[in-house]
Amino acid sequence: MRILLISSSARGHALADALARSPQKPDIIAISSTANPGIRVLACEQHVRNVMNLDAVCDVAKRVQPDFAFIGPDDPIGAGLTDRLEELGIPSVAPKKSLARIESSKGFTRNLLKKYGIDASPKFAVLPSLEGGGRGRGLKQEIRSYINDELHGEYVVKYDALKGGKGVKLSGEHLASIDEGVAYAMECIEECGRVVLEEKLIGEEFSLLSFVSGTWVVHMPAVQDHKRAYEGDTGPNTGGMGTYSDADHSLPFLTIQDLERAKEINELVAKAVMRECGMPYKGILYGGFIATRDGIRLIEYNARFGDPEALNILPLLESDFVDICQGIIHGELTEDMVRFAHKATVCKYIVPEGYPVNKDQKGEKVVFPTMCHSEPVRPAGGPVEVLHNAKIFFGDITEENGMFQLGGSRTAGIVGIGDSIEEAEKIAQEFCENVTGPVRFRSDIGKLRTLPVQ
Amino acid sequence: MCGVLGIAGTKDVIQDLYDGLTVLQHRGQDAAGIVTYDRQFHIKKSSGMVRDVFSLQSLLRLRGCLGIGHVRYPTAGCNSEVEAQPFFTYAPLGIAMVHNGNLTNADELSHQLLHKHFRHLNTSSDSEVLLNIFAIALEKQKPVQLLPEHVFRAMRFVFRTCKGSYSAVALIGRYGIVAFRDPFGIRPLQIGTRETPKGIEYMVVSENTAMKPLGFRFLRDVKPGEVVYIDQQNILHTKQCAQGRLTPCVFEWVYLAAPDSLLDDVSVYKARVRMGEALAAQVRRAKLKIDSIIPIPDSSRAAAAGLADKLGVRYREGFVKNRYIGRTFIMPGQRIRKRSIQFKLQTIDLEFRNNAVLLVDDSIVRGNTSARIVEMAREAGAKNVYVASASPPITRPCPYGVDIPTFEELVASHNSIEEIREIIGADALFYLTVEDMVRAVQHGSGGVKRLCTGCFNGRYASKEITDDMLRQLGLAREANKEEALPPLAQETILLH
Repeated sequence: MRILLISSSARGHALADALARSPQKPDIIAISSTANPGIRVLACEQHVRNVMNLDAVCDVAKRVQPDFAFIGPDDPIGAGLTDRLEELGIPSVAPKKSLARIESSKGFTRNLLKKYGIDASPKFAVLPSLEGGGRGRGLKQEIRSYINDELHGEYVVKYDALKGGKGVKLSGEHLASIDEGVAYAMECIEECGRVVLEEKLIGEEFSLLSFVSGTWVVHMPAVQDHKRAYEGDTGPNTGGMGTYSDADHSLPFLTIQDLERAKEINELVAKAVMRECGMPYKGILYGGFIATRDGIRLIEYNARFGDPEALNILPLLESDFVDICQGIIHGELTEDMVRFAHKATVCKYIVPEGYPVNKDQKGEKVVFPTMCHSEPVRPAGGPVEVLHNAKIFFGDITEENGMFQLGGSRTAGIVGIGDSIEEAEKIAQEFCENVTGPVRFRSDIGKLRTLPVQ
Repeated sequence: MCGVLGIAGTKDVIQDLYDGLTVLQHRGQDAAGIVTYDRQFHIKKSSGMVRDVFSLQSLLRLRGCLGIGHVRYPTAGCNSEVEAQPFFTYAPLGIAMVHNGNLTNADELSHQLLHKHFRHLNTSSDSEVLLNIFAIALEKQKPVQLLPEHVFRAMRFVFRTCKGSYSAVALIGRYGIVAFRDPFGIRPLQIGTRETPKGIEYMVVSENTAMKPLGFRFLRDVKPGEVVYIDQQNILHTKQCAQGRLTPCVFEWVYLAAPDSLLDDVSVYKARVRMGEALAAQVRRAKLKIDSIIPIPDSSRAAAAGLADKLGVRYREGFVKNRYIGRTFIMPGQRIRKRSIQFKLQTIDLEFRNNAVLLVDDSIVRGNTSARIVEMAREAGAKNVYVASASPPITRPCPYGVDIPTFEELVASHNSIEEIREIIGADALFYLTVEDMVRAVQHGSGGVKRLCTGCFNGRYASKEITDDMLRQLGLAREANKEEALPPLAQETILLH
């Protein structure tokens, strides 16, 4: 069994770890954009390539001839890497380009939900509308009046293509005035032809990821992410400073009905996108939801594992991940193939002090603690010894002779696993406190007092 | 052996299909046909060469950006117009199919199709059986909106049910093109792509010799047991639907394929050169005085060059081939074959006069071609005529679609090499060994670990092939042929 893993960073490390735990003992051949020290230990080959250079990725794939590929990040999926690998006869756990529009085009997703009668969207408009409509001045006027009259000045402007998580801007946060909102919307239209305007929703955000193979949909534990850089959810947005999940696979602020509704939306969307594109969606469907006063609404979809969501979810997986991947590919995915431990998790990201504002600490040394109580184990996962109830997944970091150096981006995700969020938080917190170097992390993530409740 | 071709394009594909079939003409000159789809199926097929089958009028009529085409020489069917491909069925969804290969359990399956599924087969062709098996499998999926999974599940049934060799391309109305290669990959099948401003186009074809002239980029071989589906948006879906064990027919490299093709990562031309080179040791041991090495055109040129190179003997062209007549091997029935040899080759007498010549042929099938050629060389004044075959003695018929049908017709099935030498009238006769031939193909290729060498040594790709079965296949075919070839039909073929 040979598996081509196209992924880097901590998400790639977590994926490699889950694949390596399979009793099928697969050979993992990794293609990453950096020489990730975590993946290096787990993979039998690690190729450092720009994963957006599809030709280079295909060259490796052609030589390796894997049984299947797992594609981690959104960019190569959106660019059609799954399609290219399929040309070579290599199936992938990742949707094809056409299906991946669920993430790469916000407008596609909104229109899909509308067309198939899935009532989960906020008020929205995709402009310019397909029926034509105004250009230039007329279009500007249309945007302004939609923001004013329909959305009453509380709005979100979404770039209609992949923009590295930086395409979405909110009124009152990124956009100080309606003029700024209109200007950004026009900028989006100029760059990618379309813009999505949406009502700004108030509530608690959460992620529900599902394994999808056509109409087979099996859900993972729900996770809440903290995007803001500093404690108390302040400061600029980041890729994610930390996440947590609960032992019941729901979240403290969600009712049973809320979670069931989110699951239902994922299932309906999997069906809808299959009918729309004429082929089954095969991969990870990541629904970004918000629990509002009026029920569950969809913020956006992603066509892959989230980082850090993968760091919470994958360590809990008790069943064979390789089996699940093959089930996805062959359209034979069943619920009994997917089993998660009933444990809570808290993931805190260690990041350089300057992140995300500057990269001043790049190249500086960071030291991870050797755990001194309970029995430390060296997981198949890495060069650092951790407790059996903690996991470390390496992100933007380099290792040479056991010495770690910071990169400019998120350094390592520390995951605590326990019977309650409280217990998991303590484990993660203790580990993080013992990391030395010019780094910081958010101690409030997963703390009981900061948890939102129903 | 036949040639199959399918194109999923972004505009009308008829020009590409026509040109593609012309390039594939070496794989069969007996009949040709094309089906295109443009909200309705358009079909044109008939006996004859590509250039004779399609008139300008028919080309204008064959509209649509999906199309499949076929060039054929008779293997399982008989030589008549109704058995030209593509075959077509209305249900489900409308499917047209072209097939290269031969099903070994076609009789059993056609019985099942009639008595269990109540489907009428209009011909005795195994390709029509394959189409109908695919049709019932697809119908079972109830494809209200056809998804790739429906195709793949249907194909699993086809792979389980159909025995023998089949590289096939099907066109499903409104939906796209399906192509597949049997779990042994006995006949070749390859995928190419072409980028156009309107999007990516795909081609599935027997040999990649047809890709470059049409501007397609060779992508790869279809794997044994793999199914390729190109949907209505020209998105490629592939899936391994049966476990494959690549065992391609070695005769593709010996004779059938075009020299510029690359099959399963092995260059046809290079393999032929290596086959010639491998003959050198034997010839040297015989300590003959040889003035020149002369290939019998066209497919033995590469081997002759390789042999001449290794021996350090000059290479000369001694035969001129009339290129306006089909290859003799492909002509059905023994009687026509004897006659057409006479004006297919002519000698350049000065290259033979008072010379000891070593004639190199790719293979000796029935022996009558070789005998006639040796005779021609002597008539041209050759002092000694030696013959080398760049492949081993062919002792058994082929159940997988190469037209070497009966034990009786094969000169090597009941004669020793010495006896064959006498029959063809040569002064010495050399045959390549099976081991050398296999090595010549495998050389430098990690992919082709097994080859079907059944016609040489009885090691067929699948174990179920027995001599009894071969006899049955062979006898049944010969009976068919005699029946289906009234004298008039022969005249028509000779006129081409």
